Amino acid sequence: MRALKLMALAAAAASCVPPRVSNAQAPRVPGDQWLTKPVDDRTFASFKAFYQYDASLPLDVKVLDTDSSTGIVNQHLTFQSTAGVRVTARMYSQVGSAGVGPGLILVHGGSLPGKDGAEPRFLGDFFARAGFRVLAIDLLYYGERNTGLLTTFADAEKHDNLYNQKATYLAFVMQTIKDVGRSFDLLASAGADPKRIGYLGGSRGGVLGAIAGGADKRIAAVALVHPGHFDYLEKDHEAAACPANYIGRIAPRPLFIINGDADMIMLKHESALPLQRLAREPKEIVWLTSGHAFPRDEMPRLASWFHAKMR
Amino acid sequence: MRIRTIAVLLVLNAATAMAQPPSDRWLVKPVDDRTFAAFKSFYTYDHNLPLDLKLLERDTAGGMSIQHLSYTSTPGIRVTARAYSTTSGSSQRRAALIVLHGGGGPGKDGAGIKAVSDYLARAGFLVLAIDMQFFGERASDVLTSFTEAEKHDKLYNQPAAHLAWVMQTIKDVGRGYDLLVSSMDADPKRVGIAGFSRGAVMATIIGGADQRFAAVAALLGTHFDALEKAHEAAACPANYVGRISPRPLFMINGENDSDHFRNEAVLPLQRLAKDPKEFVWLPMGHTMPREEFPRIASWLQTKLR
Repeated sequence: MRALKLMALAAAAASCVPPRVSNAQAPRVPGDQWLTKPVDDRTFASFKAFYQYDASLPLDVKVLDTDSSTGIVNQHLTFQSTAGVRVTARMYSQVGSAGVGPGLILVHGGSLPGKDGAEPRFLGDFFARAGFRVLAIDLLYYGERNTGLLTTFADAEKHDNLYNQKATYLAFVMQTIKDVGRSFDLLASAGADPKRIGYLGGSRGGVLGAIAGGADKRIAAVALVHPGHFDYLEKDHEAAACPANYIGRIAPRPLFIINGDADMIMLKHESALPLQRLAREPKEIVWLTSGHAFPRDEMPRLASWFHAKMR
Repeated sequence: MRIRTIAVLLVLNAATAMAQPPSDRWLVKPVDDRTFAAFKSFYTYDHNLPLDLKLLERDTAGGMSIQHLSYTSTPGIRVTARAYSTTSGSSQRRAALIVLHGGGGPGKDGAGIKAVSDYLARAGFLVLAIDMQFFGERASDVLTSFTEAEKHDKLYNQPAAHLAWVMQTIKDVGRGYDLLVSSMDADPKRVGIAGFSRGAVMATIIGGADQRFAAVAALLGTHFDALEKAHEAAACPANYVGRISPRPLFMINGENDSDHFRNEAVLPLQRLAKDPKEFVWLPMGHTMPREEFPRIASWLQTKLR
């Protein structure tokens, strides 16, 4: 009932927007069929084999270096995700934290340094100080996993070579779900409580969190910062790579979404709201009067939300 | 009738101490069209990605040209291959084959695969023999010893790794088709696949997945080998072999094959194949004698005319 009312309101809101007349500079995000009607259970079940991994494969963790100079242990490491594919990562934890505590998988947005960008580094440190064991991973093609597919990391390049290449993007999404699942295993083996491991992702990491959160039921709580269905340059994707087909499957696990109402990357009406609408309760949605910039001030609230939901 | 067959097999199983490969449910009932359609996006590739063909060396001797080359299949993944052709001056589009090796460590460079590739080229085909991922020049630390135990522990019996490998191979072979047609004068309507042993299993899968291949020769193929236990639906030849039709399928198997068991693994797969199909059983084990090369070449010539 309430959903219907919201949809009616949204439809009304959308109809108030003046039609864009062949205006090249106004970005227009197309929708897709799954935003209107996500795939059914049977089709969704057919995706599963493609994002599962072989749990018996050793993680083969290699610690490259450890830095405790800031009062937080920052371990630079790699682990085996799937046969022949290694993930580079940093694990942040409090000095001397030997007991079992909550864990957090941290996934960066679409910028060149991946997990080593200023924001993921801040978040790793911040959430470790807030009591979480944090594993910040590089997505395939980003950070230390740069293969040359992306070199400039300009928006045009990312879309030409990855986001708008349907098969490549689907493979990237499937690999990411596996990498996140293996991150879960690694955190659990390193002292995180397997019942209290959450996911935090921003921008592209937020889109992927809507997907990984819906795919992997072990993740206890999911927080997405500036996610959307499509960014302003995305055109089309496969059903199994579409967050619209996953986000509704995070429930009954809790979901927290932060969006900016002036976000020019994840447009409010075309991208953020339609995806939010497909999320089910329990969900908490915060709209900031901001763009796509990292909302640092919201992080204490997010940390306390994770603590409350992963008790 | 089918129930009776199964019952007979069960009795045989109980009566003999032979190693029996387990079956799976798709052998009894392959997935339906809707489920099969859902597999498609996972083996489709982006056609606009450049093939980036690199010619590593060319060997011309005895009227045969062998080009050692590599091409991009999917981002970051290159396929190593050898292209065999007779050095005739013809500029016409030609019939072509993609040759898939079995589970030997050297991949396309194994002695038997080199011999059959050379033979098929002399029979008039443009032949592209590729390395499957993890084999030959694409060896990695996933497989190092290539013993049966290792291949099954690390790949064939790891359902997720095996599925990813099968999906990659469908893409690699599809890109091989593109290479043959775009860079090597192959006639797009006359490209076939010839696979041996593990490569034959792949050929039955690829033949069902990629409708561009005009003929499929699955030599020493099977549903499961002697050590395989389970695989995902999208990695099971039983879900593909019936979709090769109306394109022709050819199989040669050994009655005494101790790896691909006739009754338990080969016949059940063959039963799922649709016409046109041609199955030959020879009194042999798991090797393809050179004496059979002409039979293979002539079947392919007839179908790719």
